[in-house]
Amino acid sequence: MRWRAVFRALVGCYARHERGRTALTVLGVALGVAVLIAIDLANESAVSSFKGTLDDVAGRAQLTVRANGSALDGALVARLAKEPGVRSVSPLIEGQALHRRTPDAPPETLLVLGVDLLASEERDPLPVRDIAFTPEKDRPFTSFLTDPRVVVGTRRFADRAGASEGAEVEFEINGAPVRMVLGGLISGGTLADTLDGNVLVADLGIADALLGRGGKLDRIDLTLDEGADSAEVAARLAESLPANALVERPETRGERVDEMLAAFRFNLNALGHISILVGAFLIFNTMSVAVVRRRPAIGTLRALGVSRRAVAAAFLAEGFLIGAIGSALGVLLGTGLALAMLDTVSAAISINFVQTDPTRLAPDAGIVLAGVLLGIGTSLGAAMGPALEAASTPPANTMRRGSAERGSGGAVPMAVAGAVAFALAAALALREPRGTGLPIGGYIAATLAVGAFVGWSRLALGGAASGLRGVYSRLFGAEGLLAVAGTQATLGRATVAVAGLLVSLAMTVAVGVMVSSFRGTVVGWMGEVLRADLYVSAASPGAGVRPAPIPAAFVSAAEAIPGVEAVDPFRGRRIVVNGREAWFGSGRFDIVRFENQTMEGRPAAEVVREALANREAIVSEAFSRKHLLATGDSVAVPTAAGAVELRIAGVYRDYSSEQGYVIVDRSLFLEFFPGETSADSLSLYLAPGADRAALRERLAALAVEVPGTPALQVRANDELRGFAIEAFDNTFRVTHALQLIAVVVAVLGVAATLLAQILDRQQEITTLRHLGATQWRVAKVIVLESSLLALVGVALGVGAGLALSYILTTVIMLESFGWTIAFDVPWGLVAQSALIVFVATVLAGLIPSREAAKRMRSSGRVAVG
Amino acid sequence: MSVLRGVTLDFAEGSFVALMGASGSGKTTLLNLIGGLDAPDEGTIRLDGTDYAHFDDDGRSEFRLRHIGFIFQFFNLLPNLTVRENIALPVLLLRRSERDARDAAARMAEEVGLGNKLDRMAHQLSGGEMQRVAIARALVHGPRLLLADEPTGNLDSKTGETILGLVRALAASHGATVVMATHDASAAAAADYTIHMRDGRVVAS
Repeated sequence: MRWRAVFRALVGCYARHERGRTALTVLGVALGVAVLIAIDLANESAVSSFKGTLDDVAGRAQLTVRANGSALDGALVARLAKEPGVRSVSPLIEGQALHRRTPDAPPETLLVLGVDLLASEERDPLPVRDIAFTPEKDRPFTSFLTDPRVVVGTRRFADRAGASEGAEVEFEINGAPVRMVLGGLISGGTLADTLDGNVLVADLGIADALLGRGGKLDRIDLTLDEGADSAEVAARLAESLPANALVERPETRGERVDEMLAAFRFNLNALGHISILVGAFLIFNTMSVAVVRRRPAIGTLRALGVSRRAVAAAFLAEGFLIGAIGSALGVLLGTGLALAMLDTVSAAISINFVQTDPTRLAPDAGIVLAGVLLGIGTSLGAAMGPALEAASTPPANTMRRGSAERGSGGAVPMAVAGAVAFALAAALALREPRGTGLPIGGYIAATLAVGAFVGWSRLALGGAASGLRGVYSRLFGAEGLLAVAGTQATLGRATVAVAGLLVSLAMTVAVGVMVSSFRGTVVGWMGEVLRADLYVSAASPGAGVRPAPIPAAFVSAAEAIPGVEAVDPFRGRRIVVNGREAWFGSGRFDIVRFENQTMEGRPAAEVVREALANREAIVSEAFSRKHLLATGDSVAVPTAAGAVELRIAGVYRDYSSEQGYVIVDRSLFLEFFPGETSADSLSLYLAPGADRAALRERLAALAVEVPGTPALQVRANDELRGFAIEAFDNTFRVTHALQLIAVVVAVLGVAATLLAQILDRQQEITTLRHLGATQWRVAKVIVLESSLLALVGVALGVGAGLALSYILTTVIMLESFGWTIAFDVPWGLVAQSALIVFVATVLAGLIPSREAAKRMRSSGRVAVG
Repeated sequence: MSVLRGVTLDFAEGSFVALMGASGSGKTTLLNLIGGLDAPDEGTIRLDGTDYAHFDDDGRSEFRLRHIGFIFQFFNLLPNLTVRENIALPVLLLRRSERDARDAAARMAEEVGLGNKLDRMAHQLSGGEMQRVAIARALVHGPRLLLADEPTGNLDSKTGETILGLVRALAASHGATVVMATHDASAAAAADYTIHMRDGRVVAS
């Protein structure tokens, strides 16, 4: 009972009277939590849709033996079945089929899964067990195993194709038309929606014949005996299996996906945490002001015998309530924001990694709970200091009227700590980068750099106030003088607002500079790399599945088109080198054009000529950094004939894959993978004066004429560049929204600080009124004060932002993605951000200035003194 | 509810008038009305023939800035301004030049005996010194009327006496009429005459 009375006296009545201020604080928490939840939810939904697709196709085996470089030998199945600890084996092949709804329509690509249907039914390591088989009554189940024309499709695909169960549907497989019977339809389970239903399942033997695999396998799933240690079995198998067989545990696969996306998620999450940090500034600010304002009440209660603990508890309870209400609002706000962000995030993941198609937000209680806990925790943490201060103030002091600030010391020690932090940040940032993929050092450096500027903010604000006292007073008269004096009177609190402002502006500037540097680098790089006139690629069918390749016949036909000078076909294979995903690809080293390009200072054309002559590889920068391999080193590449050691002739710049490429000449690639004559994409060099429009039409016609050609995209050089830049800009669109929110929170922080100061400076306002100052002149004082805070916050924010952007660009990006990005400050953009934040902050001063004017009106009725 | 009713008062130019009465008698309300901080529902308030009672709030503020000075019980200095800046404030608010304001403040500081403390911060002064600064601030812009609300209420009796003497002398030399609200009979004794109030009415003068 007593506790409730204390709470009501210290919190309840104030919160009611200061509804605006309370609402502002709650809003600050809500925005912070919302941003965090939104990022996590949108991210998680996009990622889980990506991972989900992998899982749908991968099944739930305890161990998987996967083809690395070249397909697995069928004999491996029997051998694995005999291994100790292995209970059952399920071989699997994957391939592609094309389907056209009408003869002229562009083909859709379907994933063909060949599985041991009988085995799956019995031992169920595969997702196939989820297939709701609905064979026609008169079609025995065995027809799936024996009838070479029967496949299982999905209900979604059948509906799209206008086919019913049992209907014959025409596909193209390996360039040849094939008519298959949809013997069963999958309408439930994990596979039903995978790739929007573009999945065909057939028995292994049937699929093998259809895809012409000659008994070769892509994957063998293993279930283990009960009690068998999967790590132990995996290690044993890894020793004895051939080089092209990679043993994976499901969690390893997940880890690899996580590793692929880690850098991307890390960057987004860092932004979210900065937002909540800014929110914490806001809470700390308002809570400490609340304590100061309620000192008389605290004193009275303490004099009446209320314990320190009860006083502290009341303030902590207020912090908790603000946190809880703010978090609840933040969850609602964040979910809405996540829905809005989902498209952009999944587009970003699709562009950077593989196609994902999240149509729904994946509700994740963990994320929501984490957001709420963080919101409440931050509020409580921010309330802790002020609560302890309230509890520790002797009753006699609290009842005395007077200056709210407890001195303005501490500026110098804080500045020294800032300098130390900055030196540490610089030392970390200037270290030699390592290929870790997770730039922990970079993030520590970034935190220290921002911390340094926060440490300097008090000294800077105090110094600026002293230095500008004369200037403000000359420029703005009495109001200018009062504004500066007001800031000096509440230096500690004002510093917190400035720190919030500086952190959010630093983030805005840093991300802006990073994105602009990145964009400039990529645009420059594309100018160097994209030298062909037309680019042809197969349209990706969807999540996690590679597009059907462009057949060799198409490549030859394209080469023969008059006006086409040369065709450079690119073919890549995913490989795993030292446990990390990478691409092994090939191009025509004899025709690829490298005008003005260099590799590590040498003309690129010379390096490539050497590589061609010496049967060597070139690798991308990302590969070189992640695998710590440089020119002159060797890389072991898995091929059909086993692992091959290739000397690295040079390292080239590339921003298209963060896993990195190992590239050899096409002739060498075909030695390693005989028969891999098809291509993923083609670069066409045209003869001078060739008619592009006519050539494009000819290519489109060829795509129909040459059997087995998947849906193609043909882009002119400038179109491809435009497309890439658009994709780039889409990736970073989320960032801009987040920046905006952080700035709004920081500006609200300044408004809240000034508002609190007004409540605290009632006596000053009363005095000014007696002296004859009008309402608007008092309002002007407040706006000028906010201009002073804005000036210092913006100056420090730009400084911190530049330091942060340097670390982001040259350390964090380099370590996350393995890409060298030229640090280039877009001064116009920096000036624009600074100006926007400055104006927004000054305008935010209008909120408290209105309150001041209101108090002016009522102050005449307050007893003077 | 009427706080003041039927009050008709005339202050002779250059006089020093004390307003006495218990708490709630209407002294401060009367001072606020005279100072233009509040407007009466009806009636007039004239200074040198100008009825400013029904000016709008900004108009009354402007009038107050030009013609009226205030002294408070708790001095009401701005703690983070220097002595000079505190005194100069009304001059600056009148948008006169900074040099004018500085010079005027220095002159007034000399007059109240604080010429050597111009650059001290207000919160570094003693109570008596603070009230001197307040007097200087109230007179620096040459107001016709000086309103004082319990100016000695927060001072010991000796200092209070000195302060009252100073108010009286400076008001006289600057040609300002003084209206002082007080509880303190000995303070009221320093006035030319005393007006007694009770329940919002003038009961004796």
